[in-house]
Amino acid sequence: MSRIKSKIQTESTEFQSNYIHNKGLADELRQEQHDARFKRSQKDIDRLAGHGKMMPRDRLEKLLDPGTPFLEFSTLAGSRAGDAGSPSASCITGIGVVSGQEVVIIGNDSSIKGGAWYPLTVKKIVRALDIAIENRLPVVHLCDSAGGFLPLQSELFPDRYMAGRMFRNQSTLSKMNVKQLALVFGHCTAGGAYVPALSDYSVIVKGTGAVFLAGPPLVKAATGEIVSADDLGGSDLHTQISGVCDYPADTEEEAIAIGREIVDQWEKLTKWNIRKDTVEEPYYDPDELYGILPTDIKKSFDIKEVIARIVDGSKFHEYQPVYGTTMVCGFANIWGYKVGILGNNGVIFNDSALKAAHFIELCNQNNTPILFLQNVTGFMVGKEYEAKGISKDGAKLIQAIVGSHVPKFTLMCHGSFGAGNYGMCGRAYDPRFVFSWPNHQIGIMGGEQAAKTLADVKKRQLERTGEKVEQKTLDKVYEETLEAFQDQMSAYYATSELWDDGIINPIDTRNSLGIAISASLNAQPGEPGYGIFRF
Amino acid sequence: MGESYKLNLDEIKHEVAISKCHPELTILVDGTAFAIEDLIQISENHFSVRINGQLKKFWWAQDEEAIHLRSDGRTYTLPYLDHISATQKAATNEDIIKANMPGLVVSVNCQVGSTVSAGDVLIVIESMKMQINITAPRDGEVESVYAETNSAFQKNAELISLKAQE
Repeated sequence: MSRIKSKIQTESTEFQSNYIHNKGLADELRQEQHDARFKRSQKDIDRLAGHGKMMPRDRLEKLLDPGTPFLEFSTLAGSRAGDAGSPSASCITGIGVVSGQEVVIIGNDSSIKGGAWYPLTVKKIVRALDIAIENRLPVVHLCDSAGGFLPLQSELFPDRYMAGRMFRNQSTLSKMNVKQLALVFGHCTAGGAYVPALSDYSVIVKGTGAVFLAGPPLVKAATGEIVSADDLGGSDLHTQISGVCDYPADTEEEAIAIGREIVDQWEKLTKWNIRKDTVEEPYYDPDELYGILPTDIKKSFDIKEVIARIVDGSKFHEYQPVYGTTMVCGFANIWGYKVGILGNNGVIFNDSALKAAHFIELCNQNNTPILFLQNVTGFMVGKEYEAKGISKDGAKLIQAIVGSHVPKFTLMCHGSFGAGNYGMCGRAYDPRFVFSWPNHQIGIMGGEQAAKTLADVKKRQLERTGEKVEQKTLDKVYEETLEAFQDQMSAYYATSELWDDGIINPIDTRNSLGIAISASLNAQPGEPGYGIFRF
Repeated sequence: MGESYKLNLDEIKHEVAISKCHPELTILVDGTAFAIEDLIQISENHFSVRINGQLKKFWWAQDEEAIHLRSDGRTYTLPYLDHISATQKAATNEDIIKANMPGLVVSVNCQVGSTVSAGDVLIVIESMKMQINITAPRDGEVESVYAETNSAFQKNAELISLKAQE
């Protein structure tokens, strides 16, 4: 493998203005993430302290092995959901190391409305459990939740991927022999009671921890019985009488210590042994990514400049270097792990799609995980390309992605538009993880295109009904559509809705991917199996 | 004899190969055998080796571009040949720059007679919602500019041509 030769001129005005812009975006991201993690009203802080409880982030800190990294998911979930939103969607999820074991951690954030589940809380927890299933990662649940947020019950309770899915996923993990531990710090009410009940091990804190299908107020309403929370579902009841929980703990610290000791008893499982070489830092400084990413979504950049700032030694073995050049394919290493990378250098043509599909097959043959670097406006349109069968070539690419058995990872580097999102392993194609950069935009088409299309539709509609076509009316449609699209296309909206597993600072990409790849290897490989390719 | 390497030393071309006939490492230079024995690392970049019984000391360093070797008061540089980059270079070494897809010219950043270096942005086009920089494939002088700002072009349209190389 040879080192990519960067053509970036760090002295150029373009680099400098890009740098200021993108560094600014990264700073805003850091501030927003910090606020979502730590900014709470004094009332909430006092309430938890009054109960003798730790802040949820402090529990996490104490649970993790000191000095090990934590890959947090979707820190800004719920941040753009208006009244249905809450900081970090009222829960903390991520991958961390506990007693030397990589685990998924799911913690209720009781510093927001008592840790109540909002619709996006449920979506985020279900996603974290999906990650545990796909990567065979044990789960540690940190329970402290008031239960479903009743005013929004229709958006969090009844459907296939809503609250019930959490317990379905927990049962699925159990069926797969993947271990789960629940630490009960506060209430596990109603459905929440199943979280410890479906875990293999559970610890409950005396005085504050409680597990019940219905809390005291609901019991009183249903049967007239008057009972305290501790008598109804406290530590003594569940560890001495009911057997719902296993270990009592006097304090939260003690519960965490017992939890760490439990994980320490678990068998050490062998990971999937893919090729790993000596780790090398990238030759080019990842900080230069800020100067490479353009300020305008329409402007292009060479994806190889991005690859050079993510991979070991900036070294890249390019596959088919002079064929279908708008799709860059090749092998590299990330934290020593051999990966296949597909990145966009322009619109996807027939040859680019075929090259990508073939390269995906090669990665599967070679047991090499695949990283997709998305910056794509879509597949080429027009008579010539339809005649060449752009649809069936795109179909082959999608089938190759779906037929893959190796772990896939998707990084939203810039634009992700239309069918290009599918052809580059968007969220719907089960990449193990999707991360985005703050400059990222996503949509079925670009905002300008949508605005033009809808203004044109309006014009024809007015003409048909014989009404006067006023430019003012058309401009209004254009402006409104553009504005709506621009809001919903932003990386922040996308992450708020959990279309990804979090926005990351570009300079953290290599570390995030390293943890993600390492975690993905807990699942053993399957066999690739493709459908019928239309040739 | 197996695979051989071409060595260009002081303008004289030599054939170098590893002999398969000897159990120990034996190098053939233009057919003459040299036995290599006792390779010892003295310090990080300092080595000694016995060639046909004669002790040689040498210094050795490597960077991304080449291997540098110093012995008997001389420094030898052995550049790597990156085959993949070489194919890309060959493929783009054309005089006429054509559009690989239909689109619109956003801006023209050069004129007839401009001296350009490989990688310079000559024009910016827009197609499929993307602005694409069309760069000079090599150093040269602009011969003709066919592209006009705000004008549309078809696939394979000639946009710029560079003066043919000697």
